[in-house]
Amino acid sequence: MMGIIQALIFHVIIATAAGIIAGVITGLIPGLHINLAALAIFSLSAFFLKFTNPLVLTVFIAAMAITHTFVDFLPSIFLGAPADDTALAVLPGHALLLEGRGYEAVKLTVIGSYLALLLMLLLSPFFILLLPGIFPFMQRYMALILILASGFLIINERKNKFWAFIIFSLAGVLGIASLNLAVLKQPLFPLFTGLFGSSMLVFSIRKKVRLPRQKISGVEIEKKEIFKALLASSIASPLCGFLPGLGAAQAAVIGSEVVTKLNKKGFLVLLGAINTFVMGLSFIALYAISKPRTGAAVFAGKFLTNFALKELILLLAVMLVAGSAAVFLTISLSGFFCKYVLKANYRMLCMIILAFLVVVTLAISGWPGMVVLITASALGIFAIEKGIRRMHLMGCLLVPVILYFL
Amino acid sequence: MKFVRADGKMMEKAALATSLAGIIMLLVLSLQIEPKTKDIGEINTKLLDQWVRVNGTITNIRETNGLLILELESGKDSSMIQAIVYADKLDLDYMESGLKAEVIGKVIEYYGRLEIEVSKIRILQGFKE
Repeated sequence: MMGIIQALIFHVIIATAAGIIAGVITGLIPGLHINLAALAIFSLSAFFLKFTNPLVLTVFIAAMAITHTFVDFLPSIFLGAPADDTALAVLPGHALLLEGRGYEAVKLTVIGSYLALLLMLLLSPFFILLLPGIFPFMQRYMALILILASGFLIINERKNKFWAFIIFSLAGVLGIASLNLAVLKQPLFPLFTGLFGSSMLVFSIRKKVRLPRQKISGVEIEKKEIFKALLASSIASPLCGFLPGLGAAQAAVIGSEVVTKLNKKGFLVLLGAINTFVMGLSFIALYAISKPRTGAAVFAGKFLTNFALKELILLLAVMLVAGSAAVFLTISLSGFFCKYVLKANYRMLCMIILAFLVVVTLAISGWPGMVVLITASALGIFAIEKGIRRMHLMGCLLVPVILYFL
Repeated sequence: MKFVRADGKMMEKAALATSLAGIIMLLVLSLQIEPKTKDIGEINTKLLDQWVRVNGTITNIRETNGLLILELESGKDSSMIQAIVYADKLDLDYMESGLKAEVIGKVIEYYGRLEIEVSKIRILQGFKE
């Protein structure tokens, strides 16, 4: 008996370490969504299950997912190729990067992510108690809540509300067409890569962006700003977590509008916080209401058909370990980016990454994926040229989801 | 300075035109292209979230919470799969056991079991007079 427990503990430790490494890799690949990585693990599960049990695979996914939420700010800030969840980071993150403070920007998101992880662990008993009561109500009014949230974001667009609405609607039609295209595999990959990744890369290449020397420095941020960001994240994360189609960027704007306006640094803390909070919360939701709200939790749920409290406690502990490791890994990698990667020709770097995204799209989604990638990139470039916040491009998911619930 | 502004405007127009053309093309493609036909026995986790077309005989029909659950049996090797239909989205008055049907939909998983979330259903033969 002791032998079995020791073997299980050993497997859990190995799975946590492997998950952290996998999360670093998936987080570093621009545009790669954690859902796709989790799907890949699920597809290979028959092979892995020859060597271990489903709980260990779930541990691996949890460690990978949490690590990914820390690391994916590196490409979004340094390479200008954000995934959907970090779409808004391009504004304050790139602003700091262009001032030579990209390292500081990453550190701010790491602070947000780690504090949110601790907050999520503290609040988990409340979520477990409250979710079964709140979720059915939200589900009943899902379409209405999503319409109101989308309308609120469009009305709050500073530059041009009309074009924000048009971009939101076009993204919606693009989402409907892509998700219903029978020959297209993994439609979300080319869709998000185009809207949020390659569009920004094309923009950087065309504008011949040159980065100043990046400073490796500490972070100075008022405690009040961190507190406000965490308060906003505790409001925005459940919103983002339980409203399908609503990304971290939109939730961050709603959260910061509800609490109070945050400055650039506070906003980066908030983005990091929401990214990690939502991921952690999705595993709690899987336990409390049997509704996983992220792709990672969906696949974790498939492995654990009997998800009891002891499994949840194990996963929360794994997340804490993975999050702690991710703090050091992300900051170290951020220093590496500043010292080596960004010293290369930035335009060439963007071109290489763009070529990489094209190859990956062709490999994953074939020629129909290329049509989606080009269309989505064009729409993303249009939003950037118009100066409209790119979070409205999340209409690509929101519109299909609203129509589904209507 | 004037040249840079014109360049930006041109890029803006080109981006809008490309995205509109792409969206129209994708809409047409999504309406025209149908997925490859698969045998029911071929449906596995690799096809998760992908569109498939399967043919089979409806062996059982159940209704629950606005959902119609069709049991489809392959004529080839008697393998079975459930096809889930949102009753309010398709006209299903004519549906009954024994009909041979062609189903187009996405492969989903529900409590560890693979199912097809139906978007189109065509009756091939077996209408009762």
